[in-house]
Parts: sequence; C-alpha cells; structure tokens
Amino acid sequence: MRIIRMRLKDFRSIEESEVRFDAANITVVEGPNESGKSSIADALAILRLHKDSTNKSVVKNLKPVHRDVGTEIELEAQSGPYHFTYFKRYNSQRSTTLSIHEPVVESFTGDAAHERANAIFDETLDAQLWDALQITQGQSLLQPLLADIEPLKGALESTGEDPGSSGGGGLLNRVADERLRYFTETTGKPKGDYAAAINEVERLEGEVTRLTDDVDKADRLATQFARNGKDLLEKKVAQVDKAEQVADLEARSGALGDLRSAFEVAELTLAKAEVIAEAAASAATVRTTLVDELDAARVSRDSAAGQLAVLTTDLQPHIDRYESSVVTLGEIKAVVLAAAEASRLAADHLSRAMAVTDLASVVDRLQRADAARSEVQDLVTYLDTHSIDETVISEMAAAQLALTTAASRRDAVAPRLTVEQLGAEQVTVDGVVVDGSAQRSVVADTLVEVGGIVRVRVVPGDDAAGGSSDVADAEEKYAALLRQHHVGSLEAAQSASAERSFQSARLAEVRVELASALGDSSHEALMQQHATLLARVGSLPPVADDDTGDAQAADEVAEAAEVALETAVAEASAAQVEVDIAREARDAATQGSLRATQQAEMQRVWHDDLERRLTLARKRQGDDDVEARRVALLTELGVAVAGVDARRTALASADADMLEAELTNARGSLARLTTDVSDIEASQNQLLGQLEATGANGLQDEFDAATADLEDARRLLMSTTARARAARLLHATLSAHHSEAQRRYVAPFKQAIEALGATVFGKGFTVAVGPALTIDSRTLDGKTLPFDQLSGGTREQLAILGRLACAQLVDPAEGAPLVIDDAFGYADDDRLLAMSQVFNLVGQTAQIIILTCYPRRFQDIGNAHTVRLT
Amino acid sequence: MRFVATADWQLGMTAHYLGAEARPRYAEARLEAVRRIGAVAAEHDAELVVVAGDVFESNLLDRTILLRAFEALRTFTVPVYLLPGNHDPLDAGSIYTSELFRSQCPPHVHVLDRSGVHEVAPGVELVAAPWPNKNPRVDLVAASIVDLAPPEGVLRILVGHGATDSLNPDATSLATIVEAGLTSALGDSRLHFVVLGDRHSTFEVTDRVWYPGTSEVTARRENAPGNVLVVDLTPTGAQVTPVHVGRWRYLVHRAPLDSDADIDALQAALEAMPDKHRTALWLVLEGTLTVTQKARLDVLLGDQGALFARLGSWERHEDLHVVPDDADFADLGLTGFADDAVSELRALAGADGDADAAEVARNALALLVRLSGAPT
Repeated sequence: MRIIRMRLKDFRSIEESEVRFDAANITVVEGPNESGKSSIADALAILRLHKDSTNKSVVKNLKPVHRDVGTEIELEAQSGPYHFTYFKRYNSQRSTTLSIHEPVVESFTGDAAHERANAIFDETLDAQLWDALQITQGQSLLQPLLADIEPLKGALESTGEDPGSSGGGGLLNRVADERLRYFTETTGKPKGDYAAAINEVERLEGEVTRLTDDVDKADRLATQFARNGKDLLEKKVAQVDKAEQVADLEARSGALGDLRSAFEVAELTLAKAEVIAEAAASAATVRTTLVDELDAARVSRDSAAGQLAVLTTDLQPHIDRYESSVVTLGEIKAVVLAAAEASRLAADHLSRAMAVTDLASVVDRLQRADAARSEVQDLVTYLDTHSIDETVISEMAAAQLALTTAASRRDAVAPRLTVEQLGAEQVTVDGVVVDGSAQRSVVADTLVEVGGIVRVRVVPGDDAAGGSSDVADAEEKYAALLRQHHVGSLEAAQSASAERSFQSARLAEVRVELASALGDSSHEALMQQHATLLARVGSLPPVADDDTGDAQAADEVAEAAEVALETAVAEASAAQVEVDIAREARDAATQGSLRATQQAEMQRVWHDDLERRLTLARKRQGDDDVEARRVALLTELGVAVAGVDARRTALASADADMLEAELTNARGSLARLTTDVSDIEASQNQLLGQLEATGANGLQDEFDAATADLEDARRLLMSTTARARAARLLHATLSAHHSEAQRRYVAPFKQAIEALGATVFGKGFTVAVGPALTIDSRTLDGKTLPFDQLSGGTREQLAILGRLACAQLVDPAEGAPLVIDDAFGYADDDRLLAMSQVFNLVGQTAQIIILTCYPRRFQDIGNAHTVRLT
Repeated sequence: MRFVATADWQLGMTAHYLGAEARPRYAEARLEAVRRIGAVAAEHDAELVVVAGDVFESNLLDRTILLRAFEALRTFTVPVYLLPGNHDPLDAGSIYTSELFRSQCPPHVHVLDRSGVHEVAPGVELVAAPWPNKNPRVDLVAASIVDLAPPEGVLRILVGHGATDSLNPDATSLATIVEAGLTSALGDSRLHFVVLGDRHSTFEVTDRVWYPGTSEVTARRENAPGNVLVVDLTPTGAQVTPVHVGRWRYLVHRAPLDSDADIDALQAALEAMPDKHRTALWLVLEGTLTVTQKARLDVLLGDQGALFARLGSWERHEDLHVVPDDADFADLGLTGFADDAVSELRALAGADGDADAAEVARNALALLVRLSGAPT
C-alpha cells in the first residue's frame, strides 16, 4: 500500500490538517510536540480497524475537548490495483464512505464501505508487514517480527527458501511430537507405548516358553505313567510266577529233611570229638612243656649260683685296694699340711725382714728431711728480713750519682764568695769565723759579718737557688733509700747485698737435699709409711731371737719351703686318683655281685615253682597216662570225620545245595518283585496326583492365553514399530532439510541488511540472522556482540536496518509504507548522515514516512519531501 | 435307527488369531454349537449322539470347562457317547478320569473309554477306538475290530478318530486308519457305519464312512465346518444328512486394489457382510496404491476392524504395493524444505534393494500426509 494523502479534522487537538505523501517516496513530517504527527500513524490504524459506529474509548477520546463535533479521517491510497479514498467520521454524525477510483470506479457507504475497504486491505496488504513497518514512539529499539510476513517470505523465496513455508514449521513440530511419542528426545531410546510393546513381547515370549515347557512336562508325566503301568503289569505277572516257583522249591526241599538230620548228627558228633581230642592233645602238650621247662630252669638256677660264687670271690681284692689307697692318701695329705705350715712361716719371716729393712730406710730419710726443713726455714726467714739485693744496690747507686751531679751543677752556677780577713776584726761567714780567708760558692743567703763593723748579706741568684733545691731533692731521695734499707751508706748496702746472695744460694742447696730425702713421697706419706712399717714389724714376731731380719736369707728359706709344698700337693693328687679308680672298681664288683645274687634267687624260685606244679600234675595224672589219652582220642576223631564225610557225600548226591540255592534265590526274587511293584505303585500314585493337579490348573488355557496374548503383542509391536520407525525417519529427514533450508532462506535477508549496514558501520560489518529473521548478533571488524549487549543507538540502527531491508526486499506492489515516528534519539551526527544515505537508497523503491519533531535529524536525506505541521 | 454323528468339538480352544474381545465370544460359541446339536438330535428324533473324538481341546484345561460342557450336555434329551481323541486321550492325565468328570458327569453322558464293543441300546452297538495316549503307534480302529464277528440283528457303528490312509498326508504314521479294513468290515456286515473324527471339515470317505467335521469352525483352511450328520441307519445302508449348526465364519476375501474405486468396492463388500461380529476375515489385497490411498485403506480397515471378530491381511498372500504419487502431496501444498524431504523419502520408498528401508520410507510418507492434515 502506498499512502497518497491523509486528512484529519477535529482529531484530538487538530482542527484540520491534510498531508500529501505523493511528492516523493520519502516524506518527512516535521512539527513540534503535540502538533499531530503521531496522530497520522494513529489515524491510519483507527480508520482501518474501527467502524464509525464504535464507542470504544480509543475512538471516543479523539473528540476535541469542549466541542461536540465528529472526528474525520480521510485516506487516499494506492494498494495493489486499487486507488481509493476512504473516509470515516466518528463520534458524531457518524459516516463511512469508500470511493474506488481504480481499477473500476465503485462507491460504498456505511458498513459496506468498511467491509469493502477491509477486503481490499486483506487482499493487498499483509497485516503483519504493516505492523512490522510501523515504528511508534519509544519502540524504535525493538526488532520487528518478520518471520511470518508473507510478502517478505515471498521475496526471500524468490532468492532463497522459506523453512517455515506452507506451515512447514508447524509440520516439523507435529512430526517432532509424533517422534517423541515413541522415542526419548535425547538418547532416542524407545519409550512409552513402544517400549511397553517391546517389553510385553519379551515378557510373553518368556511366559510362552515357560508354559511350553510345563505342557511338555505334563506330556512327559503321562508318558512316564503309561510306561510305568506297563512295567507294573509285567512285574505283577512275574510276581505270581515267582511265588509259584518258591512253593514248588519249598516242597522239594522238605523231602531232603531226614538225610539232612543224619548229616547234622554226624556233624555234631564230629564237632564234639574234635573238642575232646583237642583238649587231650593240649593236655599232653602242656605236660611235655612243663617237664622241659623244669629241666631248663634247673640248669639256669645252677648256672646263676656258680656265677654268684665267682663274683663274690672277685670282690675282696677290689675292696682291699680301695682301703689301702685311702690310707696312702691320708698320709700324703699330712705331709702336705706340714709343708704348707713351713712355707707360711718362711713367708712371714721374709715379710718381716723386708719390713725391717724398709723401716730403717724410712727413718734415715725422715731425719734428713727434718734437718733440711729446719735449715730452709731459717734461710727463708733471713732472706725475708734482708731485702737488699742487686736491684736495691743499683737504685741506691743511681740516687748517689744524681746527688753528686746536682751538687756539681749548683756549684757551677753559684757565685763564688771569697772572704779575706784583712784586719783583725773577726770576720764570720754565716757565723763561722773566717780564718784568713774563706772561699765558697754562695748557694744560699750568706751572711758575712765583721763584728760590729759590717754585715754583708750575699744572696745567690735564681740559678744558684734552683741548683741548691735540686741538690736538696737528690739528697733526700738518697737518704730515703738508705733509711728504707736501714743502712748508713751505699757501701754498707753493697756488703749486705753480698751476704744475701750467699744465703740465697744456700737455700737452693738445702731444698735439693730435702727433695732427695723425701723422694716421691710427701713428708706425711713418709710418716704414714713409717708408722705402717713399724706396726708390721711389730706384728711379725722374730723367727728366732737371733733373727737379724736378713731379708736375703729369709727369701731363700721361703723359696725352699714353697718347692717342698708343691711336691707334696702333686703326690696327694696322684693318691686321690688312685682312690677314685679303686672305688669305681670296688663299686662295679659290688653291683655285679648283687645282680648275680638276684638272678640266682629268681632262677631258684622259678625252678621251685615249676617243680611244684609238675609234682602236683603228676600226682593227678602220670605222664604216660596223659599221652595214652591223647592217642586214644585222636583215633576217635578220625572215626567221626569219616562219619561226616559219608553223610555229606550222601547229601551231595541228593543235590540238596543246588535246591537250597535255588530256593533262596527264588525267595529273594519274589521279595524284590514285591518291593518293585510297591515302588511302582507308589510312583504311579504320585504321577497321578501331579497329572491331576496339572490338568486341574488349566495349563493349556494358560498356554493358549499366553500364546494369544503374544500374538496380539507381536501385532501391536509390529504396527507400533512401523509407526515409530516412520516417525523417526520422517523427523530425521524433515529436520535435515529444515536446517538446510533455514540456512539458505536466511541468507538473502542477511545480505540485504549487511549491504545497507555497510554504509552505516563500514565494510567490516556483518550480522548473524536467526531463523525468525531477527538479528542475533553484530560483527564489526572481527568483534562479535549479541544484539542485547549492543548500545542503544546501535540496536536502534540495526532494528531500523532490519525494517529497511524488509521494505527493500518486499515487492513494492505488496509493500506497506515504513512509518517511523520519532527515532534516532540515540544516533550521533555521523550515524545520522549514514542512515540518511540508507533511507535515500531504500526510498528509491519503498514509501517511507518519517514523523519527527527534530527536523535536523533527517535533513540529510536527499530525496525527501518535507511537510511541516504547525 | 437314527443318530447324530459329530466330532471335534474342541471345547476350551483359544482362537489366538482373533482379537482379545472376540476370543471369549468364540469360546462361548463352541458351547452354543453343542447346545444346538442337542436340539438337532431332539428335532430329528435321534436315538443317540456320538462324538468321534477331540471333545476337548486338551487334557490340561481348566476344569471349569467341564462344568460348562456338562451344563450344555444336560440340554440333550438322548444319550451322548464321547470318544477320547488325540487332543483328549485316555492317558494318565486324561480329563475323562479327573475327579470332577467322574463326580459331575450327567448320567446320560458316557465315555467310550475301552476299545471294542459297547452295547448302547437293544440292537445297537458302538465299536469304540479311543486314543489311549497321544502317540499310539497303531491303527486303533483296526485293533478295535480285529476280533469282531458279524452280529445277529444288531446295528454296529464304529466310532474312531484319526486320518484315513487316503487322507493322511503323513502316510508313514503308524496311527493311520487303513480304509481297506473298514471297507472289508462294512462289506461283511461286521460294521454298519463308521463315524470318524479329526478332520474338521465334513467329508464323505465312502457312503458309510464319514467325517462329520467340527461343529463350529476352528481354522481358516476348513472348507466345510460347522456341520453335524443326522444318520438314518439300516442293516443295508445309511442315509446321511448334514445339518449346519455353526454360527461363525472364517473367510478369505480377495480384493484387487489399484484405485480409489477399488477401495470403494472393498468398503462396500465389507459393509455388506452379515454377522461381522462372528466373522473372521483374512484379506488378500493385491495391487498398487498411492500413499493417500493407502492411508485411506488403513482408515477403512481400522474402522471395519472394530466390527469384525477379526479383520486383517493374510500376509503370506498379500501383494499390495504403495507407491508415492505426485497427487499424494500436491494437495498438501508443501513447498520448500518439506517438499525436499518428501522428494528424498519418495526416492527412498521407490528404491530397489532394501525393501525394509523402502517400507519405512513409505510409512513415513503416509505419516507426513496424515500430519499435514490432508483429507484421507
């Protein structure tokens, strides 16, 4: 549809306004807020949707305030082949007219006009396309719903393909639903009725197998019963036959009774004869044995007695030897004791002698030590009280030299006073009368006086005075040293020092002497040793009064005693060995003798016992009688054996054994047959019970029912499987083609958007378009962002690009005007300019109506016609 | 002398090929047929009824079938003689020796449980050849007459069970009935009539040797089931009249299917069939249908199937092909990818080689037609 002209009267605040859109494809309607721009879009919708008779508020609200007039909308448009003018007045003086100018002039009023107009719209205008191309205020960021717009689909199909064509999308859903009836969505395993049918067939197959077995088993039971019945009959016949045979054999067996009795008597006689003969033979054997045993016992007894006598004789030398050896051992032990005593005494003697010698040495050393210690003490005392040594001498000599030097130096600088007595007058110098003349160095105030005449005071200069002071100091030091060491002079000190050196040397000598006396011991240790030795000497009495304590002699005596002792011990040891050997020999001989005694006694007792028993036995029956009885009974036994043999021969000739065996076997067979019959009858009863139970349970009914159910289940499974496989194949095939078609279908739309968008966003611009023809994401210079994360401005531009692409693709004859009510609030100037170029491009084929209160935004659209509302 | 000859009642049989709904009705129908036999006997003034074996489907049936059988037999006004056959032999587990049978059997019902002559009425003898077990390995009929001498003033009817040597496909079977022996016995008047069981269709072996067949159909292959024989017997001959007592029908219907008109014809034929609830129908369909036509056929069979005791194809003989046709999909208005998918499936459906895959593809196309909402 193409809008040519639009007139509004008394439409909200608009008194009357007519806008023409036919000057160019792009019309920019400018006007400030509330000038009625949006009213144009609203009026188009109202005119199309509402009859003049409507009382809906959206229409009632169109009425201007405070004026009771009708609201008029008039539209002149070209849609498909139709060119028409459509007029409606609402709310007051309601009216509708439709004047069709082309292709055939027609005119309608009232509802007929409304219906005809709707028919034209339905025929020529796609409602979804119309809605998609209307951008109302505040909706510019939203993407239009383009997927189901037929004109667009037609356009895309001409280049691509529509995956939703002919309700294909719905069909795909239905096919998917159909598949889901039989298969799980993810794993594609059978489910629901299909799975149940599979399981049911498996279950029933198992059931039928089981029941087939059971039916077969019942047949087997019946067969078994029949076979048993045949066996039973045969056995019963055999049983009767066998009973007759037993009766016959028993009769024949009775006739043999007498013969068997005679045989049994002979057998008894024989048995008795055997017992008696055996007893006689046994008695004879016992007697012979007894006699032989007695003879043997006698020999043993005598032999044992002889043996005992020999052993008894042999025993005495062993006893003598032992006792003799004991005596010898005692004697040797006494010698040993004496030697040991002598040795002990000699040792004591030696010990005392050595102690005496040691004591003398210790006493000597102690005396020397005591003398030395005393002298050392004296010398040390001397040295402590005489301190002048070489060092002190040096110190004193130095002090004396310093004094001499100081006096010389004083004298050298002191004035020389020479007093010469010229007259008689007594002249004194410092009170000392001068005799003739006096000469001196003035080292201190010197008073020269001539009695009553003159007193001259000579005062030395400063140098002289200083020199006197030094001399005084030196003198004092020197004197102090002499005082300290209690000597009057250096010489005296030197003499004292020489004496001290001598005494010191002596001290060293005496200390060497002391050390020599003490040796390694201390004085105390020596004293202790002395005391010990004294005690030891005291404890060991002298060997003799003349005992000199000669250690050498004592040592020799002790050694001789030790040798004598060792010799005696060795002899004692040898004597002890002899004693042990003699004792063992004696003991062994004694044991042998004892055993021989016991043996002799035992043999004697055994012999006596046998002798007693034989005597008693002979008293009852003589040896000859015993033997005679044995021989006689043996003869009787021979007779009995012959009797039995004779009768056995008689029985054997009568075939009695065979008859008996036959009878025994026949009886056994009969018993066995009876048992068999009884067993088979029991088995038959059991089988009958089982068969009765099996039959009564209706096994065949169960089997038939299960078989029928299985057939039903198999039919159901077969048809279900066919449906399931058909659904799966159809779904797979449709899905595959749908995906392929979708890919092809979306392509031209995507290309259109990208071609238009390249102007706005540059060459690196691509979009991803979804199956619903929505822009899912934008890629710019390799960077992709989902639509929702793009900026408001970009989203708005992309949403409008989508519509522009749609408007561009749709056949102009089927198209609808793209109406943009207030957009691009988000766009910067560069984008506005670029979008203007896009508008200009699309406007070459499609009608675009832009409503805005910001004329500047659209000033760059080259081929637009501007309409200003005031 | 007049009597009713019947056989192969197969009471307790389960018709597994029928639908679950039809099976109990069918089981009941077999008992109903027994009642009608009693009515036929009364109606024709018969002296007795002989049942030549396989009275029961098995010895292993739930014993309640006995109670229901006796209930039906109580409606009989004449004696009934039951012969154990190969399905219900007189073995140790025989239904005839069960405690329930012995205690509940009506007095006019007798079991021919012994091979040989049974005098059942003055001047009337039955010669019985009951099956002692399932595998007798002997011609039981021949054994039953081996010692017979021609009777004086007595009519003898042999009651046996099994295939005669002219009918038995298994000629080596030891139990086969040798016809020559029967002919000989009939010829020298040791016997006067022979009633045989085992063959479920009514069949005249000779004028005096008959198979009455089953009283109610049991299998599709039976060509003359559902009859009993009313026999008028004289020493010199027999007048045999089959009387139909069965109510159920097992039918095979052949239908060429190459067009909508053929489907129309099939529909008309099915709709015209009487007693659908007692009819099992095996269809032998031959021809080539489009997917749309096949879908239509499926709907037709689905609808009619609810009416019949059984309605389905006899798959072994079916030769029906489904070929996707342009017309199948033209009305659906499918374009784009759906159209491409159809092309692929059609190629698959028409491909030589993998018949199974082609079948799945055809079903998929039919499903597509259905889900596309096209009229079927």
